[in-house]
Amino acid sequence: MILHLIFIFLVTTCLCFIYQIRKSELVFIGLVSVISQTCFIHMSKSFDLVTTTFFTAFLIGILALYRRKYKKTPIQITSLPPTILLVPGSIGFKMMGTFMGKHGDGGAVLGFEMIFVACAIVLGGMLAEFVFSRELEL
Amino acid sequence: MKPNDNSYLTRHSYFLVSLAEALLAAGCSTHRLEDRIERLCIAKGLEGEILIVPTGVQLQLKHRTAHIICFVRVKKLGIKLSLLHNLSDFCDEIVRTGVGTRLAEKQLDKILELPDPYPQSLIIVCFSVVSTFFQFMLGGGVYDCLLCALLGIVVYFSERYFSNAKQASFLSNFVSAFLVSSLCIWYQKVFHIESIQLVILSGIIILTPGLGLTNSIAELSHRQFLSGSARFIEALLVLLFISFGVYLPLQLFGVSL
Repeated sequence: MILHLIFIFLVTTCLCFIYQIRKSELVFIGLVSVISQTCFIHMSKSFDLVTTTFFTAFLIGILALYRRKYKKTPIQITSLPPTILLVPGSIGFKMMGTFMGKHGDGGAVLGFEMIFVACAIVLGGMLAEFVFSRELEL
Repeated sequence: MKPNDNSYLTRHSYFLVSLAEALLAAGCSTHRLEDRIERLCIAKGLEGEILIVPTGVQLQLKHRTAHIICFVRVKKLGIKLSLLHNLSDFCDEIVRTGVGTRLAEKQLDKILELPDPYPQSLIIVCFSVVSTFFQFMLGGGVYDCLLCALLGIVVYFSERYFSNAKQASFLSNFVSAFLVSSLCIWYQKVFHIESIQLVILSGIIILTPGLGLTNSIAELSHRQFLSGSARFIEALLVLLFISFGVYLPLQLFGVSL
């Protein structure tokens, strides 16, 4: 588990480099990622993927708003790298593979799962923003 | 209409459109961008309406009896969060201090001229690490992880080379996926891969449009129907091109996943 979290911190830092995030934000974003993934791992033992993703995105949203409030960092910057670890890109790839293997039913199930996960991420972030900050950031 | 009003509006519209273009090119989401520009218009005492589409900005400004509409195409899109952070701070500063448009234009030019914060060599290593990590997470062995490290580098160079070519943004996805899939097939024939599907997935994980799909749904949720649906279609197209790039070599060499 600890090795897993260290890897998550490392990968989030790499994503920060790829998307050219300021050095001063790296540690905080890495910690957001570690906290959110810990939540994800623990919740996924009891809940399904969509529910787990929703609450994880909500947590990321809260932490991004906290950073926005105290350091004026745009929400998009703090939330993007941790969210990348949740986005359903791999499900989409599997979906296309299933369709190409002429298994339409399986592909459709994966396709809907992909859209549900993406919606869960969006709704989690929007809910956090609505509850903790009634107006959009400048 | 007074000539003063017209020149006042022209100067402001030029600045605001340039700022919107820079924000869009840095990866700012549509609804946040519109909100930013509308607040800046209010801070400048202007009536402004802005429409953002994924590759363009249209701005309509009113001041007293004067009225102006301008449109700009944005051709270079990407995600540069350091630039977005600087531009966001700059917008905050304009609203807070009410800095004049001429000075603001100079400051904007300075921000746009800032170099990238990290060297390309570091970005190559990061592509490699991200692919390796995903393979590790999917339970791959040491040799599979090493292969993924190489695949990450291949994807970086392929993306960089083909993204620079004119009208070839989708081609880069196809070529990257094709190269990754071909290398995995060759590797499997020479050595052994526990699961070729997982290795290919780890290799191309950075290309998969999960973020694009999530952003498109976020924009649709904020009633940005034009931009959201365009991005949704873009994400699906990327997915199709990647899939085709992966499955073409598999079919050619008769390998099944």
